Amino acid sequence: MAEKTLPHSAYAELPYLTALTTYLGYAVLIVFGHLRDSCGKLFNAGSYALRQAGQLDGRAPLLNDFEDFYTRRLYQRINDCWGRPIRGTAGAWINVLERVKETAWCPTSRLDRRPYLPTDAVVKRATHGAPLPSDPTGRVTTCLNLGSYNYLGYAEVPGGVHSSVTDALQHAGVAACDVAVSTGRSAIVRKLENTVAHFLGKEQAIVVGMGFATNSQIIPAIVGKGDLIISDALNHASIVVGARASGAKIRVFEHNSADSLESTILDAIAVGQPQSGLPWNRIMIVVEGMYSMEGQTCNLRAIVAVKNKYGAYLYLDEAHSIGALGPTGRGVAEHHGVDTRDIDIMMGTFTKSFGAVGGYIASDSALIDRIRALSPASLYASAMSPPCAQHINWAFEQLMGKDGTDVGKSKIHQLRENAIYFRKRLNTMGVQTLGDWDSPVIPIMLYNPAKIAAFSRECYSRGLAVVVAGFPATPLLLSRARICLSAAHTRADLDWALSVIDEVADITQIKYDRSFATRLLPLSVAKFITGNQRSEECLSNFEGHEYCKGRHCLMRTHSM
Amino acid sequence: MSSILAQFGISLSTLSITPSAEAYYRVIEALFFLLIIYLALTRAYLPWKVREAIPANTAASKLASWRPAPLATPLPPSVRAQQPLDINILSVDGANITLDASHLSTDSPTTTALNFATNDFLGLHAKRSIREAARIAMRDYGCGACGPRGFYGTTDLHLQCEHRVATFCDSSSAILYSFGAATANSTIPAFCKRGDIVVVDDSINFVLYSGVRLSRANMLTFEHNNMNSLEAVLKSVCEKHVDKAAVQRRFIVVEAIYANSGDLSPLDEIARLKDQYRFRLLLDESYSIGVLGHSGRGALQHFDVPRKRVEIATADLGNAIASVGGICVGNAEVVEHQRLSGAGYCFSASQPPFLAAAATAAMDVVENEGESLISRLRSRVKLFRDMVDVGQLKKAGWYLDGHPVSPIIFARRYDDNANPRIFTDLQERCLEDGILVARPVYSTDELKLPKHAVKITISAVHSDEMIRKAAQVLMHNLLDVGA
Ligand SMILES: Cc1ncc(COP(=O)(O)O)c(C=O)c1O
Repeated sequence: MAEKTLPHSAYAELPYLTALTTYLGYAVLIVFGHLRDSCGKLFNAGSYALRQAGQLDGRAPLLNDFEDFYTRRLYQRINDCWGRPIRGTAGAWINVLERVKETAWCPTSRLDRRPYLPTDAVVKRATHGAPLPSDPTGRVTTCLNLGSYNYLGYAEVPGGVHSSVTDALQHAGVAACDVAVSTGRSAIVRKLENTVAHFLGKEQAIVVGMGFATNSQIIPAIVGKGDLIISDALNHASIVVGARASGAKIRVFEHNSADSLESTILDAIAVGQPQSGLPWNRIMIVVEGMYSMEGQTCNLRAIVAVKNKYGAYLYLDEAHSIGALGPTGRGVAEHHGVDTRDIDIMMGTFTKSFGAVGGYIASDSALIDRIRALSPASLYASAMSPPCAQHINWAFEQLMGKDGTDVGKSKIHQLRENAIYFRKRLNTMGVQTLGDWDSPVIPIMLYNPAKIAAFSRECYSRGLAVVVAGFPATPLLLSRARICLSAAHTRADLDWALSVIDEVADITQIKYDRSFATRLLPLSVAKFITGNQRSEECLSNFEGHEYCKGRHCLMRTHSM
Repeated sequence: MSSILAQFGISLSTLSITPSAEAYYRVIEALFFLLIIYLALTRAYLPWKVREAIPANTAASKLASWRPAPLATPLPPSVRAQQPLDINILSVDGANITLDASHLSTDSPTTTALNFATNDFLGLHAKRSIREAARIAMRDYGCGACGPRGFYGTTDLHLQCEHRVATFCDSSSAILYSFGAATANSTIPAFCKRGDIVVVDDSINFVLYSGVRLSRANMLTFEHNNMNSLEAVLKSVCEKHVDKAAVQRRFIVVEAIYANSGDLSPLDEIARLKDQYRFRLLLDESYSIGVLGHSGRGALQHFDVPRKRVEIATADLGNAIASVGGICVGNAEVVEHQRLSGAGYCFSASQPPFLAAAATAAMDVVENEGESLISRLRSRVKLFRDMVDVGQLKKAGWYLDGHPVSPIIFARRYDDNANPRIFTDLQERCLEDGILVARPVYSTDELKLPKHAVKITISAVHSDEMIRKAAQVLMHNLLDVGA
């Protein structure tokens, strides 16, 4: 048991020493947080006192104590690492606006900073006195973008968006101003729906103006009371919201484990519905194509096998995998060589690879008709903005080669090249990464809470925009940085990024695979101390395998 | 936790001296074993009684006999009957809308109609200055920001729009969601949790209702727009939970103009009651921004209620503001908390920047031309209502829902069991006469299922001529269908 799951668990590579220091780090933060709160209470000063002052009108506090404490004492210390505003497209290079709070530790001094016209808000505030910490200072730095989900590079179209998109803006306007089903759907959205269905080999598709709402408002139209949803432990919040809203019972299986899925199904069928013990009406398995915090694709073959064995239905969320995986960008099914007929409901979003907005569901006609007629997403939500729909239509045309060029094809190829190259270099560097060897999302493990901010700030001060994540987005121990590669990155971009990461990794001491213990002590002792089972051997496996459909059999060390 | 124990495990444990990972697991296992014994001895219930093991043969027979229901059954006739016309909109130009007519009983492939269906109350959809702002933003920012707001999805256009919303609503801060239908149902669960109390009008729209359900707070309803009923509920909450006043968050959730009926809520009275009973107010302004108040600032301006008395306000930008997105307005605490806890905010990509730019430009237009636009809209709504002979409709079994200032007007039957088909017929007949009206469909999961209706939306772009025509067409067809 331990042998099967451990190598793929993110905990497997967590050095024991690091785990200890991570816990210590949080303990220090919490103790000091409470100390500061006590002082705040005593002297009636600081953020604690402010919070108290807000509660004097006899109402209960708006935020509960833990949330509030977490925000004030943990998150706010490092909140400059998130929400950095940008100006312009989220392409390979982005213009990051410096904020007042960043000047506290002056990260941008090494780069040439260009002035930009501050927004009127800031001007007003500046004339009225103290600017807020989140106000832009008026300086911009250009950073290499390793943070956006711009897998295929459609966030930035060279020369501006395609002319058909601006035409759509002129003809159909910025928005449709209404709910699709009660007034009708626009021709552009219909075209997109047909394209998606055709692209995925499904009978019909429905397009929604937001990916989150696609999950959260359509799952309730598919399953309901008497049904069972079996959901991967790491599924996205939108799926969790949709599952909760549906009224179906929810059970969770171990992340990406077909064994756990199978035993959950077996158990569920044996027990039946709670209280009544009646058999379940339907069982729907919900998984993601690529887990964006893990950089890992779903174990689709094994899951499809289980689903077919027991007659369950499969709902596959391809938010991150559509466009980004598979030789022709058709997502994780193509990547793993699974027939899309085996996937009952295919969901995806256009906010990632397509650089626009919205989501889709592709399935059989009967189901899509039901969704159109019954789901809140089609009854109460605004239609997708027509220019966005046209942008996606145009991107699909490129991907399918219908524009007569091979731009789309070379984008898919480039993304894959970049992903494999970057991960290989990172691994030889000695940092710990998670996920599949060829995934365009590469989490780099940081573990210690203090390293979250350190890594992000050091990278930013060198002109590299990365995303970092900690608790509660990840488990307490497993804070990480996340790299998202793009087809728009050139080899030179990547080499430069790697040199920066190398430097920052040394500063923040995150080369856990090359840690002090590993280098100085005999291997067995080092392994014992660090708990680190990993070696270069899995790396060498990556070399020399062509992209082919049978590949996953070679690469997967998973139990099926 | 386990690792900390493990670290001590080495020095303390004399059980196992072999330096392998095994030793760690043994120690942890032993500790857990002790914990289990402790729990079993101290807790009142016996864990092994909770679920009896299922005998293997029962499980096998259950598995063998399990037959899953089909994924999608065909729509029941009752749902089919309420489907609106499947209209394919080719283009929209102000009050004129061009449709694909291939399935209508006309010869030409396209047809044009007057648009009385979309919620473009002020005519901002076709406004040149807004389109131009959107075009420039699209040129510089593309069609999407490719990431959530926290991860480089924030552009200066978003910040600008949030600032614009805050000044427009006379509030200290505002937060921008990427979709109207994911705004209020993210806001409500961010603040209300299990054990909290949410008092809602029984006619709130589905987005609000789903938010309350998701929050798992205790929901209590009061009769639609009935302040005595509201007061009774508030009173009973205060009396019943005296001891919880310091910890239990209590909210009233209402809409300014109700999406499902066009009714106006008595905000001044509600604000008074919520202060008296120490509740907080969440107001949905989706249909009132750009509609109520002499310059279109919404319900607060209409009722002359100061902003700080409404703790949280949400709105869909897809109506009068003619963009796609949602906003939530409140003090800094309300807004900043949602940046970490609003599900539809943190777990979704940001709004396309050009839509934020369009919304900013739209609010500029309302700011500058609001008074003339609003008075135009008012006079159109009044003209329409004047043109409709309510008495005659009543005889035919019809009535018009909605407050006199509401730009959305619902034609409904008195009869609760009206055939749903006739509303779609009505939509089709009106379209044949050159007027496009909407035929809303409601989810059966609504808190209180609204009656079937056709919905007429009045806009400031309609000329008097158009309004007259629409009223005539509607009257004629209502009487015809109702007869
Ligand atoms: C798996 C998954 N589903 C759904 C979504 C939501 O999509 P969107 O950002 O388009 O709302 C995301 C994105 O963050 C996602 O990762």
